[in-house]
Amino acid sequence: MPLQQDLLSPALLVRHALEQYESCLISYAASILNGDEERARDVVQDTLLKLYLADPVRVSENLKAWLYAVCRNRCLDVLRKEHRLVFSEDGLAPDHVDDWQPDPGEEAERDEMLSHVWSTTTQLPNNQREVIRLKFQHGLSYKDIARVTGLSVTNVGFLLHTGIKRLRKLLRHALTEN
Amino acid sequence: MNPSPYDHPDLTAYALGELNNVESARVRQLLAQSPEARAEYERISQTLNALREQAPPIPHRTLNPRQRETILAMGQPRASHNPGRDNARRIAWGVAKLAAAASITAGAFALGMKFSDRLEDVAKTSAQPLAPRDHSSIPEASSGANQVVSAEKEPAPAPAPEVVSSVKLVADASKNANDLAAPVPSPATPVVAIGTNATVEENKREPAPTAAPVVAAPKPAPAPSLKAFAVVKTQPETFFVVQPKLLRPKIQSTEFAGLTVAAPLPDRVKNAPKNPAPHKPEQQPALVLHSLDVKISSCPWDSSRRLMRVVAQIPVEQAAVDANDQDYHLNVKFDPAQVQGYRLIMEKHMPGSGPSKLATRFAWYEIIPTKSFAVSHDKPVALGVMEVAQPRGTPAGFGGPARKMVDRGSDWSEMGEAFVFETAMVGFNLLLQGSENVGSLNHRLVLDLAQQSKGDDPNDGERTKFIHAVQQAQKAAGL
Repeated sequence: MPLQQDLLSPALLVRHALEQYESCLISYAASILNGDEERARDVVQDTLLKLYLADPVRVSENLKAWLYAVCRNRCLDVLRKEHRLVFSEDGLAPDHVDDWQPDPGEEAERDEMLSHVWSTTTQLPNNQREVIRLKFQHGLSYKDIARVTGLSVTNVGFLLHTGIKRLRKLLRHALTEN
Repeated sequence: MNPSPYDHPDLTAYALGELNNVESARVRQLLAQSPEARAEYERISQTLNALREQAPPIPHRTLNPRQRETILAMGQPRASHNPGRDNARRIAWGVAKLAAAASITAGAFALGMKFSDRLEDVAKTSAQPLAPRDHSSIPEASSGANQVVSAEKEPAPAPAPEVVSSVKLVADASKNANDLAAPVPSPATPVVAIGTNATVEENKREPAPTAAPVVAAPKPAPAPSLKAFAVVKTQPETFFVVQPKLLRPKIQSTEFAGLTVAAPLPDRVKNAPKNPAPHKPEQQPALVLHSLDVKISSCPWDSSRRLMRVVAQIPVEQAAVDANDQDYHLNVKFDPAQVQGYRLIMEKHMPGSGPSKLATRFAWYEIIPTKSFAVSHDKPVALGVMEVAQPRGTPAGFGGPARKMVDRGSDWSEMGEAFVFETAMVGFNLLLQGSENVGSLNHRLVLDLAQQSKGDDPNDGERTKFIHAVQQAQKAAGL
């Protein structure tokens, strides 16, 4: 949502960003940096300092997405430097789940199954987990997620859909195993 | 493979309210007609509801007090000054600037006179049609295919001699591809050779300054000039060269008991016949790319332009690299509807190293979009396509379809640290080459870009060295 005209000075924009998104950005950065909160704070500090250098008119068109995008890029820079960046984990997804067919009769245990939905997201590939987190935890739209991740809106939709389906399959599989 | 209508991302998007009216109506129609789709939609909705309802709250975290102070202090207005003293200072500064401008203009004029003969030679050479070039002799910082055309006849500038720089920007081959930004020298070959000679050349190259002070903030050019750019209408296609010999891992010698021991020869050299039969030309093998990444952002020195970085990762262990010396072309075709002009401004081969055995080929283009060009995050625009020109006899469609060069409307300030630092390197390269038509590019802007993307590079790190080199060049240029 575009910001008010009186926020279009870099100092006010930064103050607004700090008040509104400080906590969310630290949380998001920590999730990318494998839970390292101190480093996440450094990244968020860098992100907010970068805001002074950006064009306030352009940034204020979608401040939230801009902050998340810059924060994400900075996190990836940090991981890259430490050689901890894994480009794709798609191949690490559990193959047995792909072949497994659920029993339709198990729908009755749906509520129990869905109660573990967030803990199960850790088993998703990185890219699916990230879009689910950005959508449901941080409240970003498809367009915002596309801007943050550099993917197209169609790709975001596909990743979310695939992630949701895989999540359901994983939950059912876990329920059957138990 | 198209997804089944009952297993389509639109069902999830519809459940999340992400579709427009037309798309929503289509999904509603499908749901009304198909019980399978309704069942699938129901399952998706259950999972989405669970995710919504059980989303863990974001824990309240704050920056450290010192970090907050640093951030907020950046936005504090400076303490007010005595206006009278400010005026006096402004006048003194103006006089100093005028004096500096006059002396440097006189110097530039004298140098221009001295090099006027050479300029005439350069003009004659550039007026000749471009002949096919031997790419093996092309320096890294110049393009193998960047046939620059002077599109607009502009009035002859003041005699600012164009000196082809011998200074090259070289990234360390042993670094990870993603760390190209660090302009790393090997001990024997300094990255940016700025010594006495470079200093003199820099002085010559620096355009005669106007009375305006050097500013870091980019200013949009009033009207896009295509000078020193290739014009897409007449030359929509270009290429850059992939040279296999520059992609192979370097053979490193090792020391043992004080003696230098040669590393084992690679298999292709070891297994080569000692008395080879008369050479029979073999078919050049097809080149396989591991990945081809294109990133486009606004240009820091001219906001009306776009900067494009191409990164091709190439597996070293393939016949095209390991046992072949013929070059490959990576063809780039710009869309005249979106692009007016382009130029290749920096390129680099990085040999394969490490366990991944991937070599990397970088290329940077500066692009002038058309007047009708309109890009945003919501409406990405394809600036053209790119693909490897495979040798004859390669099966059609090998390597997949041509890769679109999609501009997603990113601003350079949104890009990653490595991208921004590389932008600083590209800018410095343009300054060193004395390139024309570079908008508000100057040493100060290069320094700003490099310093803000330096990250936590140590004091003796390669990025810091680069910054020092730019500072030296800036001082040498008297700026």
